[in-house]
Amino acid sequence: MGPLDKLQEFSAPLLKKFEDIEKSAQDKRQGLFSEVMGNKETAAKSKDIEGKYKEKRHSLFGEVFESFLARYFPNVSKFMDIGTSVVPFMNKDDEIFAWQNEFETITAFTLLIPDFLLRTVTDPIANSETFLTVLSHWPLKGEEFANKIRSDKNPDDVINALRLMHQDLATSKVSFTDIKSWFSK
Amino acid sequence: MDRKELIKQVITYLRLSNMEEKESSMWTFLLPNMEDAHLEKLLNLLKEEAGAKTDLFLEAYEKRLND
Repeated sequence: MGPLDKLQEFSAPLLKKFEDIEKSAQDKRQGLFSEVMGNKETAAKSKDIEGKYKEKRHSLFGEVFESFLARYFPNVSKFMDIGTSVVPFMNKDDEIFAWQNEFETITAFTLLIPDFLLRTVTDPIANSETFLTVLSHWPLKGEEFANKIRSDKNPDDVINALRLMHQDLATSKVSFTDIKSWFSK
Repeated sequence: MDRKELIKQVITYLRLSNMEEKESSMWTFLLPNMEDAHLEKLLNLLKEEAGAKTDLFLEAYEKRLND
């Protein structure tokens, strides 16, 4: 048996002992915390605190998302500009790849967002007449999708619509020329 | 506080928070691209929540000892 093996043989039970002590202390800390916070009245107060700060984070997320839109999604944000009659895809310098990238990124981004925050992202899209006009002309179920979104503003429908639009733009099933023609009619 | 320190503190407090895993991951993902003002707001909220929970724990613990 080499010196390293001897050292390992000597230290193994000690390490195990340290681990046991640490585990036992951790259990005791968690046990005490759960016991104190588990009291009915305290648990209710704790829930209230969590609810209050969840709401505050919700509000902060709105600000953060707005900032992200302005900086990283200049095209998709046109869909959310409800106050003005911004018509997307009309600028001759518009690049279809920029649109594709933004559709793809914002769709992927929605996968990271917990349900209670999802409407912050999807409601401005669902409320945008520009978006709904584009969607209602979309081939295969576009109008059905648009009507569904108009009536219940379900975030899942908005995300599915974005996904469909991204796919069709990426595969050239729908082109800028098609979309421009929908607006000129 | 510089940006690196700000992000470090937010991560520390995110780990202390009771928020669901998906929300915590989302904030972690957003951190590098968030504006400083928003990072500060998030940090303040997380600190306030942790402080409120600690106060509640101490209050409940004291009550338990006295009962």
